Amino acid sequence: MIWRRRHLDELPTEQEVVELFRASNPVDPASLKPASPERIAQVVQAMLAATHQEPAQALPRRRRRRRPIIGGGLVILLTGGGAVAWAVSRTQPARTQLTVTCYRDAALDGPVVALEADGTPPVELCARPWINGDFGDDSEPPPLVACVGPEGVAAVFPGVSPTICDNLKLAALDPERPDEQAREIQLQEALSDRTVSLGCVDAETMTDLAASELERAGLDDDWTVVTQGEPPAAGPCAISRIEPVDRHVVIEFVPDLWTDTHTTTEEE
Amino acid sequence: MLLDGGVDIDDDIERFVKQHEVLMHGFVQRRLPHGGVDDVVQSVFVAVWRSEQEDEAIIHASFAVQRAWLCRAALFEIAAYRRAQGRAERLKERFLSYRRITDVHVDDRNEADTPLDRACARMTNEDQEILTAVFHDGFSNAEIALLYGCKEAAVRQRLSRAIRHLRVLYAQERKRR
Repeated sequence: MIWRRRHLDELPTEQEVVELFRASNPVDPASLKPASPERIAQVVQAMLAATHQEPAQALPRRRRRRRPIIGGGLVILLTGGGAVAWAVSRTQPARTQLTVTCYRDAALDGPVVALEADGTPPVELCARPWINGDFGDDSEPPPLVACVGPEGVAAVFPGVSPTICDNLKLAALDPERPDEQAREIQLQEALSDRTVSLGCVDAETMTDLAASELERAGLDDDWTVVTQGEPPAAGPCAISRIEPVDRHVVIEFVPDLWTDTHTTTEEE
Repeated sequence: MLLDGGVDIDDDIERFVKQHEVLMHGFVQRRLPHGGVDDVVQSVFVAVWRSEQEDEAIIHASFAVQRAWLCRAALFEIAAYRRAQGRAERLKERFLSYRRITDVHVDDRNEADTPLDRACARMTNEDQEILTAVFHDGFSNAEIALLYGCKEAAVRQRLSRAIRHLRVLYAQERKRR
């Protein structure tokens, strides 16, 4: 009994070992810093890559979440077709240009599969979702045609005729001119980004912005800035979108929806 | 990425990663202080993302549930990483024995040099894990219950037992000094 008592006396208190153990934390939480955007992008890419490697799991046909981006309608209104590019470019600027959108139908409102470009020509890349059964039970991909999608990245549609792109008011993707395509993408992203970030601006400011972005993208020789509508009729705020087919940056006017859009997006 | 009406889910994934990356980094680094953290963290997100695609629960779960899922996945990934490291070290040892080189330090892990380190080294993995989760990661009993899939009462019991073990082992190691 005496021995047991002495043995217990030698034991450190619970508080003592807990404090000692707590102090031995090899990673102080205060020393942890948010990961860099590059690191985030790396992890996200790994996750997306896993998606594409395992299409059977990645793209179950039983459902897909249809969680709309809140305020997305307003953003689309503000930026035209560039809204999707904005949503992606704002979060993953490095990846946007590497995306190829594969459409199931020869229409812009049908189901799509977005794939990361890996150097494979877009038409070949978009054969994969067909082979994987993501677009139905047909394992044989139909003939495919590549256009420049509304969001400025390669968009591949089923069909044989190059007029598909024209019918959809899209430019055909010119594989011989990747530089120009990249510049168009850059322009689209820059305009979408600036349009959203600037908020409600007048026509003059937006025209200057479009001109400077055209120059920055090296497209100022071929492209022109055109204005559609009048400020009082449609709304006070100028926005811009690109028309790759006509090589126009179109300035349009919308009501002052920016504040609402911004608030809603943040609340999300 | 299947989209209807042009809605992308990349922003969901990125927000998810941003919310949890720091925590996961700390969580893994405490258990793998000698490297491999980035790889394991990435594997955790990929593993959870794959499982999410099967039942799509995690992206829309509460923060606490997401964290528990990630930490649980991390424990598996850490164990897998350690097993892989163990295999690599055994291969290295075998290789060195073939070459009859005996003076190369194979195990580069830090030797336990304080009474607390030595005591911890003698604890079971289960004891170490719960002490780490509570006192290093800062998880509550409820969070740990979620993480291990057990009741809070069981967590309290395990924690109490681990502390008791640590007191005894620490006392022994301190005497040995």
